[in-house]
Amino acid sequence: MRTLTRKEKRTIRFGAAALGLYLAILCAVQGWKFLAQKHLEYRQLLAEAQGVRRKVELYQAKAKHIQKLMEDFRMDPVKLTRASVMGEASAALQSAAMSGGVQIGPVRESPGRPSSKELGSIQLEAAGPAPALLKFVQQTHSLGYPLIIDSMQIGPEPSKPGQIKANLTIVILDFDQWKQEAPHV
Amino acid sequence: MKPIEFMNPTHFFAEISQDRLKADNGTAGLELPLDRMPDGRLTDACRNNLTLQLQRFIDRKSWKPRPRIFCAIGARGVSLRRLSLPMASSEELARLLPLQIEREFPLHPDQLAWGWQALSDGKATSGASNGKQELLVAAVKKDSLEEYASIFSKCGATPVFTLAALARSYVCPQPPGSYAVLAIERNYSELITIESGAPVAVRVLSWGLENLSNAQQAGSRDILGQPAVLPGQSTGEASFGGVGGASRSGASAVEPLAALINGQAVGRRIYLVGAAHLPEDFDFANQLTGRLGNGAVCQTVEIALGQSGSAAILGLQRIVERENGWPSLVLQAKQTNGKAARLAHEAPLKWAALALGLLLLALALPYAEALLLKTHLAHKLAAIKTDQSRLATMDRELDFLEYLQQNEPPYLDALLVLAKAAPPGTRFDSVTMSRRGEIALRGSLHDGQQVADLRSKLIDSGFFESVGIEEQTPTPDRQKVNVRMNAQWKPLDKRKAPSLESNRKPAETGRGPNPPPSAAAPNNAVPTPPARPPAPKSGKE
Repeated sequence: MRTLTRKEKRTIRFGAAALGLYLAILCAVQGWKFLAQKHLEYRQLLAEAQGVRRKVELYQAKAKHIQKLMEDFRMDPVKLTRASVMGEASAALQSAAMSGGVQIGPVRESPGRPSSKELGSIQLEAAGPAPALLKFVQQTHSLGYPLIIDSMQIGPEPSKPGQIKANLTIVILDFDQWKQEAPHV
Repeated sequence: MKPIEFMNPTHFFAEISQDRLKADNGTAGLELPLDRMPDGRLTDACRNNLTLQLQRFIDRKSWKPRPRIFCAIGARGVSLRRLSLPMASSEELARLLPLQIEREFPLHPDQLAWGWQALSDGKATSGASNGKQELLVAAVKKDSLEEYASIFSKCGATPVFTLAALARSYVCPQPPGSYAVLAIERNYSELITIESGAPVAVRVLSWGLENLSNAQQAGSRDILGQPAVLPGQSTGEASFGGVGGASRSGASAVEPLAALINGQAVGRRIYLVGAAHLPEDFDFANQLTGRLGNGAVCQTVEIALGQSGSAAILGLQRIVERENGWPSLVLQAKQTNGKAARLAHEAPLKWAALALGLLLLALALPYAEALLLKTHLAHKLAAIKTDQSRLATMDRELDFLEYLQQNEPPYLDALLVLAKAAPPGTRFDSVTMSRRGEIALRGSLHDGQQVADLRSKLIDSGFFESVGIEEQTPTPDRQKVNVRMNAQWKPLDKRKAPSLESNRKPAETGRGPNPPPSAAAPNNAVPTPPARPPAPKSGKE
């Protein structure tokens, strides 16, 4: 192989330098584009995260309100199971009545109408002293079940002087029907 | 790449001879006389004066890097040696050199300020053969150098010492082979011999311009005038080299110089520095050439010396320009294998590199943040989006609980209102209520007036929207009136919350002729509801 002349060596050096410079600039531009793209994606993610954050902040007040209502009713609707809530509510009613000195008479359970968002209803007769009976009525709201007294009829208890009798129709709300609703965001 | 200018230390140049200090900062020059004690050290007054004047001259700015002053020192007391050492790394050389210097020089290396330069350049040249390398070592007593160094340090400058004779050689032509440079000062001369571009010997000759002056006085007139001529000064009416007494006296005055030089190996040419300002009619170079017996040719170097008037300073400036900003031979009082000096030189570059690095880091940080945190953020966002289903559950829970709250019928409130409105003696046989707000009453009162009162009180309570009497029938004995009433309570947002306070007068409660309903019908009447906290205005319990 012949020896390169000085001019040829210089040309090769210039060529190599130019090629190196071109490659360096090319790599720098490509790298810059890559970084800029990543930066843009990151910015978009940040904006999205801030939007989600604002949305979540709106729910802070709602969460507090829900917490207060749950404490008032002593109930977590999510934990209610459709299959057992009827029986559990009936048992809780009878238990509350007995502990308050109210005698429970006949109890009739009937399935509710799906259109009225009711799981079922319980009809019962309760008899006892007036204060105990009214306390029992008051307690039905905080037994831990979604109970609403649909109707109440109060009258004297002929067989037991000094006591009164109440016929109560209590409906049990069906939380599952709320579950099927679209969220009100 | 050239470093950023303002990050570079300022350069000053100085020459310290026996009796003068000359300095140059590129735009102005400074010349100060030196007053020495018999042992060659500077007097205290001279040292203080030097410090003061140099401080003003250097005028260091605190925000700028410490300036560097390249200082050429005279050859008095300087020894040059060529040493041959085995090829070794710089670390090994740093260990070997002091041992060799201890053997070659009369003083211990710790008492010397010394420096070295490689003559063979590490390659297989004539200087490097048989695995050995040639080094040139220059040494001077440490005391004198430390004295100068302390003065410069007080002025805030970092001194770099080299040989003035070597610096002067850079203002002369540099032919191949051997040659010498003779610098003529006031009362002495310095002769340096250079071979193949490297100094091999330096001598101080006890002959100077004053010798010419004395010879003139011995002749007809002083050819240099009074005071003695210094470089750069004109002698006015002096006449040299021509016919007459003066020229003859000058020629004879050159004899001792020629005799001193003849003992040295000076090569084929001697360049004269400091003789250019002698009178033109006295051809000093020819006179000296004629009297040298070794065939060497003397040649006066014609140069413009600049503000400082020093050939050594001019040479230093050329060294700094040519030799990558650093003299090849640097005398150091404390040996650092040349690294410290180099490091000091490279320090500004490092600062600049650091600043550049920080700038790049600042620019790259947002992008690095995107690269590093994007995945983490994406995962977190995905987790939050998954959790958003819980928000829908919360909405349903809220709807459900609010529905439950709003549909809670106010049975107890209705009973309370009824009990408060019923006049004494009233008996209710049956009260029926539904959550839609319908109330049906069946009972008996004393007379029709009480029925009307009851009705009006129920309406006035603000709790009921409508109160109607379905039937009002007197009993057969005309003592009572049986009545059937119905009512409708107001919606949640319109009805007034009942109060527990009684609206009866104290005389009426329990002691009057007409007892309250519960008292009037102790057996079967509908009772007053038990005491309970007042309901909120919204009607919720």
